Amino acid sequence: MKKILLITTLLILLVACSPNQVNGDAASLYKTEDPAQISLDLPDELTSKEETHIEIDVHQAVAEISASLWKQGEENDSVNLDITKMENETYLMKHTFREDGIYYLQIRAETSESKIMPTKRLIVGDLSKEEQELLEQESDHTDHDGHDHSDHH
Amino acid sequence: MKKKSLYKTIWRWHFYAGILIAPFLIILAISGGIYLFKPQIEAFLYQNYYEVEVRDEKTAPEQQINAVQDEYPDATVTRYRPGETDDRSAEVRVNLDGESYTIFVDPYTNDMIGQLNDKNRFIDRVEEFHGELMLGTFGDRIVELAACWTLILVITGLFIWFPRGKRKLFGTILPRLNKKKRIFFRDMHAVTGFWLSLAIIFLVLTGLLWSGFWGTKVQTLATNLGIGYPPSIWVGDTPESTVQTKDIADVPWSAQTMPVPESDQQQGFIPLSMNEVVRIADEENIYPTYEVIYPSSPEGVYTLSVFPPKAQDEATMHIDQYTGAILADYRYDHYQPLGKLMAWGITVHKGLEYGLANQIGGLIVCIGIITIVFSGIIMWWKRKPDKHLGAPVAPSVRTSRRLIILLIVFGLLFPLVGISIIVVFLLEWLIIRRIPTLKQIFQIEES
Repeated sequence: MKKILLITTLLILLVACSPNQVNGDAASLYKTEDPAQISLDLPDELTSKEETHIEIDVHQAVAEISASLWKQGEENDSVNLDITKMENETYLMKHTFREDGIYYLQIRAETSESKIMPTKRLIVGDLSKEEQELLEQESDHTDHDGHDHSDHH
Repeated sequence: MKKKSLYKTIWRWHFYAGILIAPFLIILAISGGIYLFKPQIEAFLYQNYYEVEVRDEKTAPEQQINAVQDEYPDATVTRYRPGETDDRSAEVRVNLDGESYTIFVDPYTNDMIGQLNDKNRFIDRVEEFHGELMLGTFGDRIVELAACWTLILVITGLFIWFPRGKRKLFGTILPRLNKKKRIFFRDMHAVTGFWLSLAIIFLVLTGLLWSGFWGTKVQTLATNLGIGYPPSIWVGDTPESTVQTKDIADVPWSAQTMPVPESDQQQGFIPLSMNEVVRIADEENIYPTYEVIYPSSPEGVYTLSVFPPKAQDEATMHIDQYTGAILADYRYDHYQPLGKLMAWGITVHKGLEYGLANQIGGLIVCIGIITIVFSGIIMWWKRKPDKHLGAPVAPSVRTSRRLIILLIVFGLLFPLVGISIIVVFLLEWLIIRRIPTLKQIFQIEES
């Protein structure tokens, strides 16, 4: 009798203490996606009035791709950029920025499985005081939130 | 063990389990009965927050969210719910001073209609009472234990109810209403119990899916075996953004839960606007009552989540916050068989799947449970002698090999029950047997 109780106790503890961990590859047992990824290759320092080359790599066969660019605060005046396909399945854009400032470059790309629309913020040349402040405000806001949050713990 | 003593042993278990579990069953039945009518109750309570006057065109989601941020500059936005119809307000969930608020916005004028501190939501508190007695994890375990013991009550109850000898309609499946009071209460208890036994087992098993211990274990096991819900819906991590951290711009974190590294990177990818996320949701035909959960870290994702009345309309979608790529798209159709069954069980448990009929059915079971509990207590009270609890005197369960095996199997299937049975045995062996008064109260036989 005591033996049975002991074995039961041990078995129950074994089940009760088994880990509650979902396997890392569990998602592969269900419906999976094949999301397009993107990398943009461009110079670290961008300057205006000089042709800039931007290379796009989507890592997958691309069905459709387009790019638009606008300057901070001029969202409604965006321009579409010409894209040329290169031999190694990457795409090239050439653009000459008219003036220094904060720009936003949005790529829209479609593969057979996936659609992406990433936006990259570009810093061209030297920023004006206002533009610098604008970016710093964002950073300040970030810091502020960070501290605010930790206060409650 | 002889048939007669087996009957008495099972009755004894039914008796003690019943007395212990009765208060919890009452709490669960009442809170559950209220929760069933959540849609009607919330529609009534928040009517002024929900309804807006229909105008020409709704503003962009981002404008609505900005309006909230202007009004509450110290708040961090955590969720956005666009609103499913033309006359429904949009909802922006924010964290403010450590508390969660829902801000209702008129999607045509961007005016704030009202704010609701989420901890004051009546139905959420009812749910908390139902699920964890408002005691957090400890309460969750108690509710789980009570639910598992309810299964034992139903099974032992059916055994006791099972007609022996001559089969009679009345007293078995129909109550005898014109007999003595004692017979009346016995039939209220046993006949009602018989009729509702399947429904109670269903409610217990589906309800257990929410429980922190058994539920999490079952969900984890099912997800890992590929037969349940895909990861991230109940258990498991959400996917992460495919963009490398070094390519991300340092931007304000609207839904921040951790400090941002001091990178100060001005150039880089910026998160998608809510306008784009909502456009994706519409393109992908997500059920319109969905809400969008903001990423909680720079590597995180936007999650679209919707659990409508019918399980078939459920959806959970994770979107890369920088590229807008759909990283995971889980609909009811993508749940594996056990996941589908659980999803359906959950919506039926909540009274949602089949509309008003489902709610009324649930309410009948709740009232039935209350009837069973009170009639059981009354029967005991009328019979109870002064000197002891009035439990049926029976040989210990340890004298029946079959019952021991049953208990062991049950204890393994529901580990909390297993642990509680061990505790009961230890209590009996170490304390009750050694103190004469307790021994008398609990009517322990010498073995």
